[in-house]
Amino acid sequence: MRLELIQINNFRNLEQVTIRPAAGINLLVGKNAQGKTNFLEALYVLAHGTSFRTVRDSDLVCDQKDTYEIKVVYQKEGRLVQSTLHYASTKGKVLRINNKRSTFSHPDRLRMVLFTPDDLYIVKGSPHLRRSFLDLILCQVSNEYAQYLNNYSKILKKRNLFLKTKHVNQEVEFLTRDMLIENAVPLIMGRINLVEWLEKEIHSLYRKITGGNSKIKLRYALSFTINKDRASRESVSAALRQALDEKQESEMRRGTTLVGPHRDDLNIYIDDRNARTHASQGEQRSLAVVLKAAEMTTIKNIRGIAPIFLLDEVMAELDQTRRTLLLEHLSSSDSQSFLTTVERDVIVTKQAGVFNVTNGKLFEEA
Amino acid sequence: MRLARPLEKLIRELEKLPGIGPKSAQRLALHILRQPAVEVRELARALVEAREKTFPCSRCGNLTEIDPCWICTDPQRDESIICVVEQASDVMAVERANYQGKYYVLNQNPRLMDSGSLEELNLQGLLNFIKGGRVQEIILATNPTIDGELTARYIARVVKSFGVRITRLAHGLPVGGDLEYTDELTLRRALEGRREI
Ligand SMILES: Nc1ncnc2c1ncn2[C@@H]1O[C@H](COP(=O)(O)OP(=O)(O)OP(=O)(O)O)[C@@H](O)[C@H]1O
Ligand SMILES: [Mg+2]
Ligand SMILES: [Zn+2]
Repeated sequence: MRLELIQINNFRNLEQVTIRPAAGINLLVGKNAQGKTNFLEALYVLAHGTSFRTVRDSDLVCDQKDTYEIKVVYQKEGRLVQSTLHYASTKGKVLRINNKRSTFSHPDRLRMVLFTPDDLYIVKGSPHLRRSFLDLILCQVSNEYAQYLNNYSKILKKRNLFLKTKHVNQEVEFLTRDMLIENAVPLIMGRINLVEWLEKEIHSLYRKITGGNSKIKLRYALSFTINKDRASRESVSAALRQALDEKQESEMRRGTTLVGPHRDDLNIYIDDRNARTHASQGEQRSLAVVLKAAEMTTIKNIRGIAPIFLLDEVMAELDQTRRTLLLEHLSSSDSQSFLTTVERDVIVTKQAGVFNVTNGKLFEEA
Repeated sequence: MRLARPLEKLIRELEKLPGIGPKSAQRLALHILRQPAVEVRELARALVEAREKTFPCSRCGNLTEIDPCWICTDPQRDESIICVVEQASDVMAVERANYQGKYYVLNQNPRLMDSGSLEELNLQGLLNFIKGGRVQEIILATNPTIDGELTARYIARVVKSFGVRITRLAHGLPVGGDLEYTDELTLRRALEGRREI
């Protein structure tokens, strides 16, 4: 999909913005605190209904104003779609797609992938960030997965409650365990399949963006042991059941479920060394960018529609060679992208749109 | 502004009802005040009577004014099938889907199970039906929520030894929704597509 027109009113410090972005790369250049991230945030909020920086809608309205509006026109599979998000402090948010009131699960909705400097923590942070990285992709490509994930977390909560209250009826404990396993298996299988797919993407993307020939490996790390080389529904289910049996006593003691997809991890290796503990800052940064780029291609390949790529401060994270290679990659892909940067000295191809951001206003460079 | 005290009291009572906010309560109250006194008395009597004269059927748990209820005693209804639901409101939903068998209403919010004591579910009446010897199938129509599913599995385990067929409403139900709000068509399809457990 491709944005053709963007209009923003009273969103954060963006009082009035109208631009026609380029089809490929769009650079937003400006000093600190001018409104670059606000611009990406506006697009993100229009697509998802929520921000990545705050949970309070009122933070997003320009100071001294009561309403904001974000309006875009985009191409999707050869058709033009109009999407408008209007917020009023009294009425909340209203999304319209082609002038009809709509929800953020509409099939024609905007799809976006966002990179922020915080994504570094997918590589070097705690396991839950890597699990949600996988879950977020899977939920976007499969409603069924989203349903299993939702069920799993509810059953897990209930089971942990049972484990805490101790005097649980054995029968009930068995039934909840069955339901837990039934919902855990599709999550694990989905993640294992995704990781296999991502590994191929990431391996070649990493080489492309770094210009090196490092070998990237991704492994889904189960929180329990399985005696089969290849995981199948049956083997995962049996192994998880056995692990839960073995852990029964310590689970009772600790009052919580100790094995399952909520305890699994994703291990990332550069040349056979764990990136979380061994990679350099620059390597970790490059990996984070590549993970997001792989998210783009995954969604495109499964859904058949290329999302829009929003990259905040990605340049600051990379050296000159990697910047150039990343820009080359972005301009050769068929996705539209928006990048913020404080330095203008990045080399861009002719087709790129360049917008200077000053004090909440955008000026297109001729 | 201060309202006439009786009006204020009426609004406050109406507001306590589920799904009624301050605005609707006010509108309803003013509407009631515009009605002829006989009609209002009729409404008041209906409220009190409904509350005082209905109670759960001693056999199936459905709300009734006679015991056993008319469904339990209706000879036209198929007594070989029993549909187990959570609340009396679920009976109304299943009835609209043209179901012709009998019911067993748990009359319990399965969230009680948060304590982990499913045993508290009152299944004695259901077991009495089964021991009567005419029951061939039990449809577990608890809500398609985690609690509803857990309840259904628990009941299935308890009644399994009696050798009756046990089915669970299968398709078309929105996951996480309430049976009460399911539309008739989906529910009818669900009744047809029930799966054996
Ligand atoms: N609700 C609001 N109304 C008005 N201005 C706001 C509001 N929220 C934030 N701002 C201001 O918007 C300005 C620009 O913020 P933004 O995060 O877009 O900066 P940036 O251009 O990305 O800068 P940096 O390079 O430092 O990341 C900030 O100075 C902030 O104070
Ligand atoms: Mg910024
Ligand atoms: Zn009855």
